[in-house]
Amino acid sequence: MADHRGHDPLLAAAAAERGGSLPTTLAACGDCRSLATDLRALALALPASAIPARPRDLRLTVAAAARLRPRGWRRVVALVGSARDGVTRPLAVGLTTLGIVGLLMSAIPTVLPPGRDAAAGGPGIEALGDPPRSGDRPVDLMGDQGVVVPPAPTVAEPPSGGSRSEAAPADRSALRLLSMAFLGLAGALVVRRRVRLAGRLR
Amino acid sequence: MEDLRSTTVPDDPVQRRDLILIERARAGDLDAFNDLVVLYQDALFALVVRMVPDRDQASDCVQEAFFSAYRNLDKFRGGSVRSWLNRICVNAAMDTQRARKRRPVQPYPELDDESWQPPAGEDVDPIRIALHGERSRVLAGALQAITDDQRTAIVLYDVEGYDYAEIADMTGVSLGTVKSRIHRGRLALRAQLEDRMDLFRG
Repeated sequence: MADHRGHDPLLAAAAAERGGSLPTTLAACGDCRSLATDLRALALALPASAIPARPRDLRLTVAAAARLRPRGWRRVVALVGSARDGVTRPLAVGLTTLGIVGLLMSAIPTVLPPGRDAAAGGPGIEALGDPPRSGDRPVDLMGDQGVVVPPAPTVAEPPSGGSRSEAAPADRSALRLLSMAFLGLAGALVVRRRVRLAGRLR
Repeated sequence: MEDLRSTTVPDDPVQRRDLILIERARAGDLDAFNDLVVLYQDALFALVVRMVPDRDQASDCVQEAFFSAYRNLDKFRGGSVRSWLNRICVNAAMDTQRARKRRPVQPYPELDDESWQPPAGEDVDPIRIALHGERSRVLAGALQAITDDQRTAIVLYDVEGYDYAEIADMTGVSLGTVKSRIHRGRLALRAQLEDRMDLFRG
């Protein structure tokens, strides 16, 4: 009798297949025949074995169905963070950039152009310093020669509340609010995307 | 001119019924989808609970599979609805296998209570019922002791009746790997049941 220890058990496992049979080299081995019989018995016992009862009803509720197949604007919102979403991340990056740039611009007064009631002379007026007052006498550059230097054109006073070189506070506040809105929206997109991703990976 | 569009209507009444329910569910009829759930939840639970030997996790897994099916109704391209649902369940079960940690707990601890499904048929012999219960318990314990891949392959082959090619397609591996998993899995099962094979012989 052949030594069973030298026989490949995988051949006996293959023989346990539906309609399978042991190769002639192993058919004479009682242990191999017994192994193939046992494996066949296990294969037959498995589908007949008892299983635990289903613990709950798996039908979908109306709320679950609405969440899984949203309609209208909810369908657009549901796309955020979904597997098909290719917009949220670049949009959030863009909004964050705009928000940060806006906040920086609103924080640096000289960056923004002056308010609407500022110098009519246009850009560069900030470099002139304080304009001459209307009551000032013109400077006599010619000294005693009697040449009268016409008075310099008067410049309208800037609106009260600050120097002419600063942007209107209302403009800065509006820009600040807009920047914070961008940042808030970017944050909401990021949070929603992370929540959806976490739900999918769990 | 000859109409070359495919007008194939499945001959199988079960398949025809399922396709009608899918079409109604796509149109927004939740009750139609829940009819499908009622038809298949027991069979799908039986499949998954052998792959994921934890009753509650298996139930969650099948629930997730139904959620996924409902969400992706538009992606169903025809054919057997049962097979489509099976594939979704197998994928969900494999995801659960990857995610769950191995815990040395007794599988199906509730075997001794009445939550287990009784064996089919009118056999009320208490000895046979007790033997059947013991056989199921030891088999479930041995199944949990083998690897997830081997368990999946054995369940799909011996319980669900899929062939090698179908299992290879569902699990994303080669034919040879499927055969190897089934054969080695059965050998591992038998090794686990070395002392209790008398329950399965004769």
